[in-house]
Amino acid sequence: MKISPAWVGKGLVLLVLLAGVGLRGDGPDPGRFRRIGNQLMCSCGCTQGALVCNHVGCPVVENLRSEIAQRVQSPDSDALILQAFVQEYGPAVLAVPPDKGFGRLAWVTPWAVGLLGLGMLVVIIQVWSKSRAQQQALALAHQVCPETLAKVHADMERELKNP
Amino acid sequence: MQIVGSFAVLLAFVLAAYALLVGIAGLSLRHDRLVGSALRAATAVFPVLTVGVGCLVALILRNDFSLTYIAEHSNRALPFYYKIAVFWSGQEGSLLFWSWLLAGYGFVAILRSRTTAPQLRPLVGTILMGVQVFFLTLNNFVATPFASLNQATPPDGNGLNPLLQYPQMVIHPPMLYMGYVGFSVPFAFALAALIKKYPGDRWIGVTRRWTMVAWGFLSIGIVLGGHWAYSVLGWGGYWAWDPVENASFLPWLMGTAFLHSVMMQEKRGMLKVWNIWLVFSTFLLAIFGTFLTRSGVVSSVHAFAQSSIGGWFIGFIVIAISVCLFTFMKNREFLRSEHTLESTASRESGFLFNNFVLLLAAFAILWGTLFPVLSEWVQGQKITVGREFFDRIDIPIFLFLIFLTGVGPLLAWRRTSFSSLRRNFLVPTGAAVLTAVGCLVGGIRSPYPIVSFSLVAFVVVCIAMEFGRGAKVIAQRQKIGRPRALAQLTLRNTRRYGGFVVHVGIMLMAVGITGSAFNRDVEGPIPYKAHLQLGPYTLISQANTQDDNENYSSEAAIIDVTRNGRHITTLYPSRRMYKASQQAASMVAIHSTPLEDIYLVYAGDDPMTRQPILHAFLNPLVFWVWAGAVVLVLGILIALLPNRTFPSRVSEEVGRNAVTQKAGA
Repeated sequence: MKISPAWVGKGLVLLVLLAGVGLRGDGPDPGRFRRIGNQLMCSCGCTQGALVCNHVGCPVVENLRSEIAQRVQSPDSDALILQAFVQEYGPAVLAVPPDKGFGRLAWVTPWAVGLLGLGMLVVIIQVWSKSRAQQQALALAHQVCPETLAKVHADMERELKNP
Repeated sequence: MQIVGSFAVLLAFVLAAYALLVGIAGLSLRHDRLVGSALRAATAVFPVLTVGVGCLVALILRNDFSLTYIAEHSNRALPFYYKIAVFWSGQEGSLLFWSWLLAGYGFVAILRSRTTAPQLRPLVGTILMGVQVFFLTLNNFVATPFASLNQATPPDGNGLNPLLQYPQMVIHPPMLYMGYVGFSVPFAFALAALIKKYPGDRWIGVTRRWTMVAWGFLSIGIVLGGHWAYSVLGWGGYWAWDPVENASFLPWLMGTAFLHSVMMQEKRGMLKVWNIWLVFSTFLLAIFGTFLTRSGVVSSVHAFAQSSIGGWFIGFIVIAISVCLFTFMKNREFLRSEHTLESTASRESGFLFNNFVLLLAAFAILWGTLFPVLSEWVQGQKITVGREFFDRIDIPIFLFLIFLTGVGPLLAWRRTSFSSLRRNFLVPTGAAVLTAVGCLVGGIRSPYPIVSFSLVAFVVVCIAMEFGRGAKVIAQRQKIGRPRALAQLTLRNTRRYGGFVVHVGIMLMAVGITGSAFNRDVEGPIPYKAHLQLGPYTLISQANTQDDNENYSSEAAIIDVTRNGRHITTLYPSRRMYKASQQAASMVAIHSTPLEDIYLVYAGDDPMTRQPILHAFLNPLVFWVWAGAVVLVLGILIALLPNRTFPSRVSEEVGRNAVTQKAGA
C-alpha cells in the first residue's frame, strides 16, 4: 500500500489539533462542589486541599466542606463564592495564586520562561546550522587537509565502535 | 556503645577532613604519597562510620531511651522493622544516614575508579570528602544522634510518627536517599574531569553509569513514596505536588535530562557545557531537596523533621555553586563542542527539545514550590500554590514530553529525510488517531485524557516498531525465532533497548496517571447493614470491630463490596490510635485490579450521630502506575548490563565445519 505524504501530514495535523484542543481545555468538570472545593485549601496547617485533608478530628475541614456545600447551592458565580471564602479565611485559603496582582506572576512566569527558552533554542539551532553550512562551504573551497581527514577517520571509527 | 558510636562518627569526620585537606595539598604539590594517604583515609571513612551507624541501630533495638533521639522517635512496642526505620525517621538519624550512604558510595567509587578512571581517582576522592565533611560536621556538631537526654531516662519513648509506620517506610527513604546521595558521585567525576581537563569520553561514560544508578534508586524511591502516600495518607491519590515530593522530582528531571543529552556528547562530542551543568545542577538540587525536607522552609505533610539547620545547607549550596562556577570559568575552553548541528530534523534536535522541556518542567515545579516563600517575602502575605496550579502548568508540558519520547528515537543522527520520517511516523500517527477516535466513541469527552491516551499509543507503537524491525533483521540473519531475536537485540545494545523499556514503563505510568481524570468518590455514614453506592459497586457495612495490641488500638469497619449483587471482595478500612505518641492514623483498604481501585477510608465517627463515616474512592487505572514502575526498573537493570555479542549462525557453521574437518583429518 502506497501512502502519500499528504496523508501523513494530515494525520499529524489532526494529532496536533487534538493536542491543541487538549491544552486549551481545563480538564474534566467534576461538578460544582468538587470544582470549588479543589480551589480551596484546608487552613488547619496541613497544607492539603479542602477536599483532600483527612486529618482525624481536623478542626477546620468539616466546617469548610459544609460551607462549600451550602454556597454552591446559591446562584452566585464561582468567582463570587471564592471571594467570599477569601474574605472569611484570608487569601491563603485559595489553592492557587489569584490571577491578579502579584499572584499573576506565578502563572505568567513559567510560560514566559518557556517562550524565552524556546526562542533561544531556535536561535541556537539556526546559528549552529549556519556555522555548519559555512564549514561545508569552506571544506568545498579548499582541499581537505590531512588533519581534518584524520579527525574524520577517528570520528568514523568511534561511531562504528558505538553504533 | 553510645561513646563508641559517638567516637566513630567523630573519627569519620577527622578522617574525611584529613582526606580533604591532605588531598588538596597532595594534588597541588603533586606529591604522590600525600595523595595516596588522603585516598586511604577517604576509603577508611566508610568502615569507621559503619561502626557508628551500627552502634546507633543497636541502641535503638535495645530501647536505650537515655538518648534524646531514641526517646523522641522510638518506643518499646514498636516492631523490629520499624525500629530499623527509626534510624532515618528523625533529623539527626537521617543526616547520619546521608553521611553513611555517601561514605559507602565514596568507598565503591574510589575502589572502582582504580580501573575506570585512574587519573581522576584522587580528585574524585577529595571532592567526595568535601561533601562528606559538610555532612559529618552536621552529624558531630549540629545534629548529633548520640546526644543524651537532659533528664532522667523515661520508661518508654514517644514512638515513631504513625504515618511512618507502614512497610514501605522501611524501603522508601533508603531508596530516595540512595538516589539523592548517589548524585554526589557523578558530580565528583564531572568536577574532577573539568578541573583536570580530562581528555576523551571515558569520564562521561563513568559519570553516565553512576547517574543511571542514582537515577534508578531515586525513581524507585519516588514511586515507593507515591505508593506510601496512596496507602497511608488516605486522600485517594499518590501525588499531591507537595513541596517535599517536588524536591525529589527536581533532581530526577535533571538527571533524566542528563541521561539523554549525554548521548550527544558521547556520539557527537556536543553539549559538553550543558552536560557538565546538568550534572552540577542535579547534585545541587539533590542537596536542595534535603534542605527543603529538613529545614522547614516550606510547609509540607512530609516534612517530618524541621529545624534551623537550613542555614548550614544554604552555606554549603553557596560554596558548591561557587566552586562549580569558578572551575567552569577557569576551564571552560576544555568544553568546546567538536561538532555542530547539521539539520533541525535530527536526533540532536530531538535531544535539545527533550532537554528544554525537561528543564522547563523542572523550572515550573521549582517556581511553584518556592512561590509561597517568595510571595511572603515580597508582599508579606503567603500565596498558596496547590495541586491545581501544578496540574494546569505541568500537564501540557508533560504531554509534549510524551510526544517527544516517541519522536526522538525515530530520528536519525545528523539528518532525517522526509521519506524516513513518513516511514517511521505513519503507523504511530495512525495508532494515535485511532486511539483518539476510540476514546471519543467510548464516551470520553475531556480533552486531556484523549490527548494523553493518544500520545501514549503513539509512543508505544513507535517503540514496538523499533523492537519489531530489529528483531526481524536478527531473526532473518540468524535464522532464529522472533522471541530469541528480541532477546538478542536487547542484549546486543542494552543501553538503547533498556532505554526503550524504561520509556514503556513511563508510558504505562502515564496511562495510570491519566486515569485520575476519572476518579470518583463518595462519603457518608455507614451504620450496620447500610449501603453506599460507589459507581457500579455497592458497599455494605457488615460489622465494626475493635482490636488492641501493645503498639496501638484500632477500630475497623468490615465492608462487603458487591457489583450487580455479586460479591467482589471484603475490605477492612480501619483507624488506629498509637499509644506512645497518642496520635491517630487511618489505614486505607484497597482492592486493586488493572481496571480500577476501590479505595476505602474509615473516616471516624460522626460527632453528632456517632455513626461510622466511610470515604470511598473509585480510582481507575492506578494499577498501571505501579506496573509501569516495575517495567521502568526492569529497563534500568537492562540498560546497566554490558552489551553482549552473539556469534552469527554463518560463523557458527564455519566453526563447526572446521572442527568436523579437523576431527576427520
